[in-house]
Amino acid sequence: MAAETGTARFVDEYQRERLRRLARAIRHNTKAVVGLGIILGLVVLAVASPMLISEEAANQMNVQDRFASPSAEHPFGTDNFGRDMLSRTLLGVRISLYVGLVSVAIASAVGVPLGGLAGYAGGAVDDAVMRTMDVLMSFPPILVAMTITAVIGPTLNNAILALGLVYIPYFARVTRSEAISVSQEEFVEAAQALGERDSYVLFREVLPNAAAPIIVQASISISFAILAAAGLSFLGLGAQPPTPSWGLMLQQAKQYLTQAPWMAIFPGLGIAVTVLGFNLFGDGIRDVLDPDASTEFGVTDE
Amino acid sequence: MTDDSDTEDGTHAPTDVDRRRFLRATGLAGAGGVTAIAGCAGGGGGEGEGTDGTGETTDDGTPTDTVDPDDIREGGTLVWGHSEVTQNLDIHQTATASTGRFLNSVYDSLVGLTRDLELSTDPNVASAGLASDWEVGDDLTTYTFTLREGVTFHDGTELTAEDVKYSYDRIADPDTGAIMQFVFGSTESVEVEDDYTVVINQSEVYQPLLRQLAFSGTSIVPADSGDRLGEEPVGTGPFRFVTRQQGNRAELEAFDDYWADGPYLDAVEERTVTDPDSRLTGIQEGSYDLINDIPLDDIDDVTDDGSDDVETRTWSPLSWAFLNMNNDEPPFDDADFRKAVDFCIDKGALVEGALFGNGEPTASPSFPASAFRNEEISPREQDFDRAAELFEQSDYAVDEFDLTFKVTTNYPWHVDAATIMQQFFQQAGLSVEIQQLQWSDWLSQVFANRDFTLSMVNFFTFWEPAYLYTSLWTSDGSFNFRGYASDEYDRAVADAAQASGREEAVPLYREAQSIIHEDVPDVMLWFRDGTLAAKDTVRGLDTILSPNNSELDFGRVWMDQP
Repeated sequence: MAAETGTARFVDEYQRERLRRLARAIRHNTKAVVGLGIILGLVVLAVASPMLISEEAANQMNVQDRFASPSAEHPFGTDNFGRDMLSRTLLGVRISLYVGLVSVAIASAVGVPLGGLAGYAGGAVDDAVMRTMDVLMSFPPILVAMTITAVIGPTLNNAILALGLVYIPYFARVTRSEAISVSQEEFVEAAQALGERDSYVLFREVLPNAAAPIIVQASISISFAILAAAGLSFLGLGAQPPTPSWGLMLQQAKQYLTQAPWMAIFPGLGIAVTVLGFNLFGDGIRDVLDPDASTEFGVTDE
Repeated sequence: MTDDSDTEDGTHAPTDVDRRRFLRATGLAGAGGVTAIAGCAGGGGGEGEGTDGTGETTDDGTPTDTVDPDDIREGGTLVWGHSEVTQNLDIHQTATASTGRFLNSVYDSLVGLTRDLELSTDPNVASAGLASDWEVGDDLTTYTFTLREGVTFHDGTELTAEDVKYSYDRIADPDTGAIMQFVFGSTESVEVEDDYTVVINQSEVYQPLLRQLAFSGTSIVPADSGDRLGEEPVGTGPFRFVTRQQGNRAELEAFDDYWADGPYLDAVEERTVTDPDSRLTGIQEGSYDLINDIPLDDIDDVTDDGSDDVETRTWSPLSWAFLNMNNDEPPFDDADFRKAVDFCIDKGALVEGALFGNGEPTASPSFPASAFRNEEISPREQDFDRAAELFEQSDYAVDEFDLTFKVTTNYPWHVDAATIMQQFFQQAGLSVEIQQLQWSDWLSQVFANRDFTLSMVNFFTFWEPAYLYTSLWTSDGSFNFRGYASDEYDRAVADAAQASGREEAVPLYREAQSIIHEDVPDVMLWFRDGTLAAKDTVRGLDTILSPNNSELDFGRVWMDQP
């Protein structure tokens, strides 16, 4: 019992040290810092905007005021129903982040354990899991997501679920390759030698030490998911009116591009900035983790 | 070309012939036509009907249309940017206006129809029929038709009485699933007297029979062609069906042995362009020669821009739209609840917000100038207090539901209308979520399987009251997917069909409208204006629109190009 606790503490410290070093490396990477800055800014907007703007106000129609160009009263202009584009664009932040985070949470909640299992167990289990994932990956994600939402019904939550499902293989693949290398580590052997159950070794030893590349994958997947969800909404398969979702706003704006370009510009910018933020952050961390790169984190042991 | 006086009368820029048709769209048989003065729909209250019907033929008054036949150039392919996806190609089964619009040039009906919606045997009327003569027995139980001779089907066989008998027997057979099966509900037999004479024997009076035989839903098909009609339509019209890739494109080819004048074009190529803006861009850039349904927000710009490159036609009404409530299910099995919903909706705001003013609210689906139109009913004004009272009276609480509003993206303005109505419902405390559906999904879920609570759709070709009021609201009507059932209503419509004449039927159809206005099986929303735009090389534009205000006939269209 005492030995076990000791081992756990030792591993925790090891992990904490790894993460601390990772954090330090990230701070020195401009891309990661800018990306993180954008993400944090969006999170603040996502939390603050619903407090300042009610959804009712953002859905408030005033047809007399339709297609008003940007002005002091409506800084982002108004749409075809005379709704204020600023309020709608700001409320869109929360929806976008919600879509990105939840779908990636679903994908990683399934993909990470599956990939970990495949990598750690190897052999037939590995083959069974990964070949299934290969089959899933052979279809373009947006096509699979469209099919799923068309079957289970077009709502925002179904789109999130569909995207979560299509991104599972990506997480499984990344996790597996990392799990294979972590499984060779001495602390894993030690845990096995101590007679720990496989589930304990997988979830407490292997996966926590495979976290870094998964974080990169998550960050980049979030931006993909946000884009894909906007695409689904644009096609009428995601968020439904009058939800102030950026994809849906673009769909409506498409009809009025010449007379009210602001209906497309601001939600479009929103998507672009959000995707940029997550991509920069993900890219930055990947640079930091790249063993070939001359970052201090690239060297695992001094 | 068109005036843009979007006046109260809502006729919104009809051409001369449109206005005249509009005014005479009543068609009291034998009464020489009945016209209402302009403004009938807005304020006339049904007053001001006067007889007219002297001296006007169907194609006078359209200066743009009087062309010396020698000037007509033959040849060329007309590319048509079509607003909707065509569905089942079986002309007897198809329930969609999109398919009718496409197949109208392929088929002919037995009975011809003039622009003024009068029946005619004249081969030169707007929608010519295959009967050169008919005789109706005094007691309305026998109809004897004489067929035109020398009419050939696209498969090369000659039209005979056998084909007419086959067509009508096929429609009457419940297994066919024909939309106009009800037309032959009182038909005892269809008999071939000789090659060019066919007799319909009726077991009881069905006064609207002749008019229903002018619908494309009762088109004449070759004997024994039933099984392949869905794949390969074969008719007697000016154009032959060549191919269709559903949702993408289709082709029609000139039929050289067409029995009347024309066609002048070599071919018509239909491109399915459901996105309104792509249609407009396409015609402005020259990819299409003709489009139907100019984007609603651009209609004024396109019709007024004075440019000679694009010609337009505007008419009213093209279609009539209504909110569908599933009368079989809570909460819409409760009439008070339905009426409350009606009180929630500001129809004027809908027309402005979703149609950009290109339409007008209506309480009755009958054509504005129709003698059958009940002018005593008018759209309910938005009144949230009345709505609250009625919700209170109903068996349900307004806040116990989370309703789904299924709306098709096939008509993008329906999505806009749903979005506006959702706000109205929210103000009344009724929670509604919108679900957008592709047209084919809408047709299968809402129309065929009745899997919906709340929806909306529009109907075309509703010029004839028996067709309109039978198919939409009688308890076994082919378009009654909302499940409305009222004995009182069924009786009124059945009595109207059995009336001894059309004049006797008028009060009965008006009563039917009052009944549905009180029962509110559906909320009537609007008449929408129809529009066409064509390159200036397209001639005979005034002949394209079928008298039924929806379908297109390319038989007399030609292109003035080298």
